[in-house]
Amino acid sequence: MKALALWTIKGGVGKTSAAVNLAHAAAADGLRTLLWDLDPQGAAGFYLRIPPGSNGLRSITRKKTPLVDLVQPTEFDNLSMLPADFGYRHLDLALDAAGKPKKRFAAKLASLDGRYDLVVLDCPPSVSLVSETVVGTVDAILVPVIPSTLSMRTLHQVRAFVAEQPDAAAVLPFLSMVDRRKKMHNELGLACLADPAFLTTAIPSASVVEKMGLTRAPVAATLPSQPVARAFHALWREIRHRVGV
Amino acid sequence: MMTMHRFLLPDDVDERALRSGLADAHSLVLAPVTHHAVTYLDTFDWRLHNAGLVLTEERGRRRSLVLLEAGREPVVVAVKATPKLPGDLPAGHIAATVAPAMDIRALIPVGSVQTERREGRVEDADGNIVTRLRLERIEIPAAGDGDDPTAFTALGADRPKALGPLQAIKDAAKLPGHDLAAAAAARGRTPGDYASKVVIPLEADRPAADSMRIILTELLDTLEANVPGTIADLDTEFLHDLRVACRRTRSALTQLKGVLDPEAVAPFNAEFKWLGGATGDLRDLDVYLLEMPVYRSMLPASIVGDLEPLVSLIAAERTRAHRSVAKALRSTRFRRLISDWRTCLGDIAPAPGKTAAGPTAALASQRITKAYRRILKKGSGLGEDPPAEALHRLRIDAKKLRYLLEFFRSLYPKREIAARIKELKRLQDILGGFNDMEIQRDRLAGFAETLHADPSVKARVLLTMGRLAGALEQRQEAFRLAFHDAFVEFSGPTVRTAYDRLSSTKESR
Repeated sequence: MKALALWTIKGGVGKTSAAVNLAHAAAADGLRTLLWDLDPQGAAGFYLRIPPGSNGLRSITRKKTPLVDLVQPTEFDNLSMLPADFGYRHLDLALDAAGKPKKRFAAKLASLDGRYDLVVLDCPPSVSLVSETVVGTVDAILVPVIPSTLSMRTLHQVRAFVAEQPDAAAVLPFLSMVDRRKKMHNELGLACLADPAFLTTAIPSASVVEKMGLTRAPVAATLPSQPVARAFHALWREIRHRVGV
Repeated sequence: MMTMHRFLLPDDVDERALRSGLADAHSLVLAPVTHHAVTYLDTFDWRLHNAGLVLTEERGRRRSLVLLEAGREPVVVAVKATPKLPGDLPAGHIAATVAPAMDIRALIPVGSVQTERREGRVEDADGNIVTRLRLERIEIPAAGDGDDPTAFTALGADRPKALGPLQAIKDAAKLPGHDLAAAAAARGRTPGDYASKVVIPLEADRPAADSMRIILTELLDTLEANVPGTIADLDTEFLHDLRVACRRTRSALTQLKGVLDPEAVAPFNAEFKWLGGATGDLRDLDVYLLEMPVYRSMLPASIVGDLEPLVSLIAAERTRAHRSVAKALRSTRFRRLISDWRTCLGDIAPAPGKTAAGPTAALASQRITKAYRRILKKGSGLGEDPPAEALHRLRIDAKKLRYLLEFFRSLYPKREIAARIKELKRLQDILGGFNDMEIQRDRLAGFAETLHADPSVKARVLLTMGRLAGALEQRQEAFRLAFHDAFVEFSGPTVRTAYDRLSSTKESR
């Protein structure tokens, strides 16, 4: 089993839609995939029509409450979900109070091994004990980056933060919400792709991604021939190759 | 997809009835109909079924494999072709789960259904899923020529409680999670209806001649069941099971003399001997190919590639041998053997004398004791350096005892008989291993002759085969030297007492 975290510090960069679409692509590829929404906003669950759960906090901090009991099936083959819990807003405090957060979280993640081939974590967009814990536990950190100065600056901060963590996973940034009509997107995008850490597939800005809020399904499930659906598929294949799932 | 609870929906419950039966704030969303041809795959001896696995191939707009396991979400993987051998399975969870269960057997279709499917959900006022649904019209093909196909509508839901107000669901009969049993029944099969190892149910007090007929009929059924798979060459185990049934039949006829009319039986013994002979070559070649990975591992990696001409030669000889076996199994001689033997078993007279009329338990006890003692007699005194010839004879005697234990196992306490078979198997593994190495070495010499005559074959191929022959000889020697210790255990007081106990449990019953 491999675990991938979608994480960045800045909101509104296509993190959750990437988590949902990549998890769906992995599931369509035949991997038993679990999408774990750690973001108390619960947007990933909204996209998949899974209402927020309860007891989620306890299932992370307490040994005896099994995580798998909270897993919900989705409408899609091989794709299950651990929905967010509004209680997750206190996850920082709870992890801190419980002690040894990284060890605790790693054990919870390990409890999913054997049932799933891949866990995709949608993390809250903040620097916190939660991000610190996740970053030190997963196999790779996927960071969506809009080719804009602000977003690039964020990537810099993310990398600096990750570098400080002991046994942090590899950071794999990818271009998100790219608008090819914008000169700056093209220029900065090219500069990013010169960085060998960057995944080479760029996710275009597309209205069909925004419409996921209406269709409440991954793009590939409703409009599989759309360029953005193909892009998520290609990005997933690249990640699969890089991480060795 | 999801783990579904399935219900048999009455014919008058349509989509509208479903909609109107839901709770007020709930609504039903159904996708358009998709058509699927669903084929259930398993090995001939139901290894997946026995391991709690259900594997289907679904052909609709795409072709996918679906693996169902109790308590787990189904796993769905797109495939290009129907998998037959473990290596054909898509990498990942399906291969990791199914391949070990299959081992060396091939997947065959064991049943099929046609479905018209509508996936869907019931959602609440917020658009959140309350339960996922699958509404399916399933058609199972007719079992026989004159029969009609059966069709029914199944409603699957992962949270059927969410359909609470729907009276039709409350009244509906529950269906199993899949249609394997019904689909297999249409092909005249029942999950678990064939196993290589069967316990033949016998009664201790029944006349021995009756039990003998039961045993022989069971063996004939097994033999016949494996004929089509052997001819079609689905995997190596059809022939193996066919040969074992043939050998057991012959063993029963010789080991259990004095039970059935000897004159009626005599001609069949010769015919079964013919069958064994006609199929032996193919089995030897199968074993060679099955063992090839082991042989490769015996040689240094740098020269393993030099075995390829040998592998090609064996594969070619195997093709020829299979053709000859298929011819034999299609022959009038074989068909006559099978039908005459079945007729004979139906009306054969018991042999004159007390044994045939006496209880089965007495016969079992007497013959098992006799076979065990024969092994003790022939095996003791062979020492730490047993001659090859003696080991060969002992191997055959051990096999005879094994068959007797298996024929009569239903008459003894399970644990006792399992322990006796286990001890014996340890000894047999050594004797059998020794013999196999002998056969393989002889055969290797023959292959070398053939390859030597081929001018395109390089000398290093023969040198590598020489190294393989050396490795086989070493293994054979290791088996020979292992014999002594194994025999000391097998002939020791613990096992002896156990065999005494076996004959006394009998008489007390």
